[in-house]
Amino acid sequence: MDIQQQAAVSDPARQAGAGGATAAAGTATNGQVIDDVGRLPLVDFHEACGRILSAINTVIDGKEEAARLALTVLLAQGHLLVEDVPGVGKTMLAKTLARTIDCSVHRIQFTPDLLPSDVTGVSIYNQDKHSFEFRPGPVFANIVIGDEINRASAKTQSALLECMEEHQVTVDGRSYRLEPPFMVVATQNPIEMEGTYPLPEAQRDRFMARISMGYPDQRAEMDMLENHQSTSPLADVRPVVGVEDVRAMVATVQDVYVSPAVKEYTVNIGRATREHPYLRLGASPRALLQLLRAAKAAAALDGRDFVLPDDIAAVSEAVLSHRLMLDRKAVTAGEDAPGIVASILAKVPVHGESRRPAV
Amino acid sequence: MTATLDRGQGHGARSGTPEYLAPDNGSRRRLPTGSGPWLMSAAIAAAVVLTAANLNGVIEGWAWLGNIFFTVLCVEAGTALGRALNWPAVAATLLGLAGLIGSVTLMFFASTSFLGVIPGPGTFRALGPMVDQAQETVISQVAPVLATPGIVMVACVGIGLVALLVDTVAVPLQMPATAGGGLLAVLMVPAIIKPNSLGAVGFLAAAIGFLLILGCAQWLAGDDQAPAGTVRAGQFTRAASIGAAALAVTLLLPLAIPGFTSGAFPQGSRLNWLGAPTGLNPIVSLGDNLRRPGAFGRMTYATDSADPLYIRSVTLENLAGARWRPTDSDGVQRSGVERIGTRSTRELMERGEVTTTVISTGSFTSPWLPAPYAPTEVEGLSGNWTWDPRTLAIRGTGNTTSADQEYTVRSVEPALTREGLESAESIDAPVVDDIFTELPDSMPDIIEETTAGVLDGLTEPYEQAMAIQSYLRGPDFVYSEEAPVDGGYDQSGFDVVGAFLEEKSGYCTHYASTMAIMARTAGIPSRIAVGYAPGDETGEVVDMDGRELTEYEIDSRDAHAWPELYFENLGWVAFEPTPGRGAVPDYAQAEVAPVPDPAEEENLNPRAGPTLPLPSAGAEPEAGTGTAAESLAPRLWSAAGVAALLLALLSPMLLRTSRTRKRRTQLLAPAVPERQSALLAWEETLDVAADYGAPSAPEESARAFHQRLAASGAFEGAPAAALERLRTGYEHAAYANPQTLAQPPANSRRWEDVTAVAGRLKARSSWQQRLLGRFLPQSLFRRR
Repeated sequence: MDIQQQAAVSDPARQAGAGGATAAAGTATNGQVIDDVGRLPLVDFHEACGRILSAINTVIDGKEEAARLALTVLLAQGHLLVEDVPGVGKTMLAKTLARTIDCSVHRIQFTPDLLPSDVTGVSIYNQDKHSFEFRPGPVFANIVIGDEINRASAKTQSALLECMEEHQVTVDGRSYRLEPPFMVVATQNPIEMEGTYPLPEAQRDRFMARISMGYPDQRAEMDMLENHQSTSPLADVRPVVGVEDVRAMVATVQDVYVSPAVKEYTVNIGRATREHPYLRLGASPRALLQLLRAAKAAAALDGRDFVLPDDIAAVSEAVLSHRLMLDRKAVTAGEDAPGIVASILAKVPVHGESRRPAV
Repeated sequence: MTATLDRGQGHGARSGTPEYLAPDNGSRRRLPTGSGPWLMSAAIAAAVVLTAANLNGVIEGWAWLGNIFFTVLCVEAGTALGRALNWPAVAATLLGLAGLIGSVTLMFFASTSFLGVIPGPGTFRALGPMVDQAQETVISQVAPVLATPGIVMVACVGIGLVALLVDTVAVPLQMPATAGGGLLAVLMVPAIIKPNSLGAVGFLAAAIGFLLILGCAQWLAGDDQAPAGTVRAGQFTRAASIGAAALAVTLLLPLAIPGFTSGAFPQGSRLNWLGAPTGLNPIVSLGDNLRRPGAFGRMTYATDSADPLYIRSVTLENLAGARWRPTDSDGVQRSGVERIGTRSTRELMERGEVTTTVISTGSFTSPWLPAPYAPTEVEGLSGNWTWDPRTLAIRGTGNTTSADQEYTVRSVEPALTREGLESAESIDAPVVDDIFTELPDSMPDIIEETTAGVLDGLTEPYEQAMAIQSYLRGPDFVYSEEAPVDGGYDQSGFDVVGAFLEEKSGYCTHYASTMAIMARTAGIPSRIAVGYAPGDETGEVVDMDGRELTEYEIDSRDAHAWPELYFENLGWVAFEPTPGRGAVPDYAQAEVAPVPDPAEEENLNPRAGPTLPLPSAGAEPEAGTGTAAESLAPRLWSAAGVAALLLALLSPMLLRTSRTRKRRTQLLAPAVPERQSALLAWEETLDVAADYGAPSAPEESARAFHQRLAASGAFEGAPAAALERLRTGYEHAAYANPQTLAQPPANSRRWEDVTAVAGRLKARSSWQQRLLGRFLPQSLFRRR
C-alpha cells in the first residue's frame, strides 16, 4: 500500500459541516460576491479561470489546451483520464490543478495489490468506545489523483469507479457522502501493458474526458530544462481560488443556457457516431449528457452564459474519443477515434435558429 | 485556445459599446408615408397611361384610352389606399388587384355583377365571348384593329396588370428603375406592330412617364444618395460614355444583325451614305422603300377621276442580261411633253374620258416623272423632259429630276371592259417592239412548267392573263416583305422569278415580274410598271377651273410594281397580281368571285384571292402590315416570349435584390427586435459571402466561418470589426437564452456593418465572381 498524502487530510466530519455553505449567500475566499443561489457572476468566473490557468501555465509551459480541458472537466463536475506515455507531465498537471485550488487533495498510486478498502477507507473497532469507527480512505478529498489506474485489480478499480459515479462511499452498509467539488484525475500509461488491468469500456465511460498531454514543443522543453533542474516548480504554486469559489463556479456552469438548436446539434452528433461505418459502438446517452455539461463549462470559460455549437465541437474530441469502439475496418484503414470524431463534426449541420429566420 | 480570456464578449451584453450607440443616422430610406403613397401611385398611373397611349395605331381611335385610364386609376388608387393605411405590402397589391377587377367589371360586366363592381357568376359566363371576340379581332383584323369591347377589355386587363407590376416593383421592392421594364413591355407592342414604330412623340410620352416614376421615387426616398448639387467629376464622364456606347450600339447593331424585318430597325434600313435613293435601279429602291420603317416623303395628287389612281413613274421591259431594266431609250426619246401619245392614245383622248390630275411631288427624287397612265399632256413642269413613245414614260434629261415639281397631267383611261378584253385575239404578228416579248435564252424550268400548268387548255389571251393573275393571288402565295434580301432576291434578276415560284412568298416586285414573264411565256407582250399604288384620301378638295379634284397623298410605303400586258386593239392593260396591294381593276376581276373552300380558308392570306375593288385601297396605309392580321398574334407571342426570357434571365438578380431589400427594410424598421435584426444581418452576410465566392456550408458554425474569413487575410480594420460585431450579434440572437433580459449587443449600425463586410467581400473577389454574384447569385442555391 502506497498512499501519499499531499495535503493534510481534513477531518471528514468537518468537511461535512462545511457542505452547507453552498446553499447560502456569502463571501468566498477572494472576496468575490456570490449571489443568493451560489453562483459566481460570469465576469468574476472568467477572472478566476484566468488566474487558475495562468498559475498552471507557470508550472507546465505550452500545455494551455490540456490545462483548459482539465479545468473544464473540474467545473463540469466530471472526472478526467489523462492517458499518455510516461514522463510528459500527466501527474504534474493533476497536481498543479489541485494545488491552485485551496482544497483537499489525495493521491493514490495504484498497484496490483491495492485493495478496495485502501481506497475507500475501513471501519476499525474502537476498543475504548466498543464500537466500529470509520477511518476514511484517500478517496475522501476534493481532488483525487489516481496514478496508473490500470495497474490496480478490477475489484479496486470498480471501488473507485463507484465512488466516482455515486459521489459516496459505502462501507459496512453505511454510506458516507463525498463533498463537492469532487474530481478524480486518473492517469494511465497506454504502452506499458504488462501486468495491467485495462479499464473496461463501460468504466471508461465514467470519465467525462480523456486527454493526452503530448510532448512539449521545443521552446517549452528548453525552458523546462533551464528552470526545473533543481527545484520542483510545484513548490512555488499557491492556491489562487478557494473551495467555495469552485463550488460557486460549478453552480455558474450549471446555469449556462443551452438552446434547443444546440441540443439538437448534440443529439445529431450522437446519432452520427452510432451510424458511423467505422464504429462498433457509438456515443451513449450518458456520453451526450457529459458532452453537453463539458460544453457548458467550456462556454462559461469563454465568458458566455450560453452554449454555442463551437463549444460542443471544442470538447467533442476529448469527451467522445475514449468511448468509441472502432471497427476492425477502421483499424485497417488507419483511422483513429479522434479522426473519426473530427470527420463527424465536419458532416453534422449546425442548426442555428437563424438558418430559418422567421421573416 | 489560450488562457488569456477576452472579457469583451462577456461585457458586451450588459454595457454595450459606445460606438454602437451612435444616434440614428439619416441614411435610412423612408417608406412613403402621408401623401407619399398617393403621389407615387399618381406618378405610376400617369406613366402607364402615357405609355399606353402609344397603342393608338394598334387599336383604332382614342375612345379606348378612357377605359384604360379608368382601370389604371382604380388599380393605383387601390395600392395607394393600402399604403396610406399602412397595410402590409401584399395587402396593398391585393387592393390594387381588387381595383383592377372592380373597374373591369364595372365597365364591361356591370349587368352580371353584384353592385356593379363584384363579379357574379354571370360575369364569368360573359367573359368567354368577350375573350373570343378579342381573339377574333386579333386574328382577323389588320392593325389598327377596331376597338371592339373584347379587345378593349383585354387591353384594360393587360395594362392594369402592367400598372400593378410597375407599382409592385417600384414601391414594395423599391426598384423604380427596374419598373421601367413594365413600361417597356407595353411599348414593345406598338413598336413591333406599328409600321412607323413608336415615333418621337410616343417615345417621349413613355420616357416622361418613366422619369416621373424615378423622380417621385427619388424624392420620396430622401437623401440617401450623394448630397444634392454635388456632381462628382467621374459621374459626367461615366454618363457620357454610357450614352455614347448606347448610341453606337443602336446605330451599329442593325447593320450587323440580320432578321429584323419590321418594327424599329427592319432589315434593309441601312444607313444610306449617299442620301436619298437615286432610282437608278427602281426595283431595289422599291424594296428599300417598302422595308423602310417610317414613311418618308409626301406626294399629293388631286384628280377628277372617280377612283384613286395608280401613279406610274417608269416601266421595266428590257430583259437583256436576264434582269429587268428600263429600256435604253436615248435614241427614241421625244421632247415636248405638252403633247404626248401615239395615235391610239390620241384617239382615246378624243372619245375616252380625259382625267385631269394635279401632282405635287415634294421630295420624291427620280429621273422619271410620276404620272397616271396614259399621259397625253403634262403642263407646269420645270426642266427638260422627254417621253418614250413605246412606254409613255416621261424622263428628265441632264440633271432634271422629279423633285419639287408641281404639274398637271391629262391622261386617258382606255375604256376597258371584260367583254372587250375577252374578245381580244392573240397576236399573230408583232405589233409591239420585240423588247416586250423577249425572253432570255435559258430560263429556270419551273417557269415554263408552272405556266403550262396554269394555262392548261386556255387559248384566249385574256383568259390566260386572268388565270395567271388568279394563280398568283391564290392561297399558295403569301405577301411578305421579309424576302431574303441578301440572296439577291431583292434584285431585278431573272432567277428571282424561279425562286419566287418555289418560295411562293415575296412582295409586289416578285408578283409583277413573275406575271410579266409568265405572260411572255404564254406569248403576251408584257412589261412591269413601277410607281405608286393609290394613296390615302386627304379629305381636301382642290378647285381647278370650276372642277373639284379629290386630293390623295402618297408616301414611300405606297411604292408598288404591277404588270402591264398588251392586248391587240386595246393596248396596254394593267393587272394586279399582288395580294393585299392596290386595287384589282374591274376588268381584271373574275366574273364570279369563287367562294374559297372553307377548309382552306384558314390558310388563306386574307388579302389573297379575288377581292372586290376597295374604294380606298389606301385605307391600309402601310404595306408592311399586309399580312399583319395573320402575323399579329405570333408577333405578340414572340414579344411576350422575349419579355419572358429576359425576365427569366434577370429573375435571379431580381430575386436576390428583392431579398436584400426586404431584409434591409425589416432591419431598419424602427421597432425591430435586436434579436431579429441580428439574425437578418447575419443571414444577409452569409448570402453576400456566398455570392462573392466564400460560401458557408451548413456544417460550418458562425465562429468557424468568421475565423476562416479572418484567416484568409482579407479582413482588416473596419470590415473586420463589423464582421466581428455581426457574428457576436448572431450568436447571441441564435443561441442565448431568449427569456433573459439580456438582448444581443445593441447595434444601430447593423446594416452599415453588413454593407462594409459585403464591400470587402466584393472587393477581394475576381470580376467574374462579381459578375456571377450579380446575375446568378450563388446564395439563391445555398444550402441552409
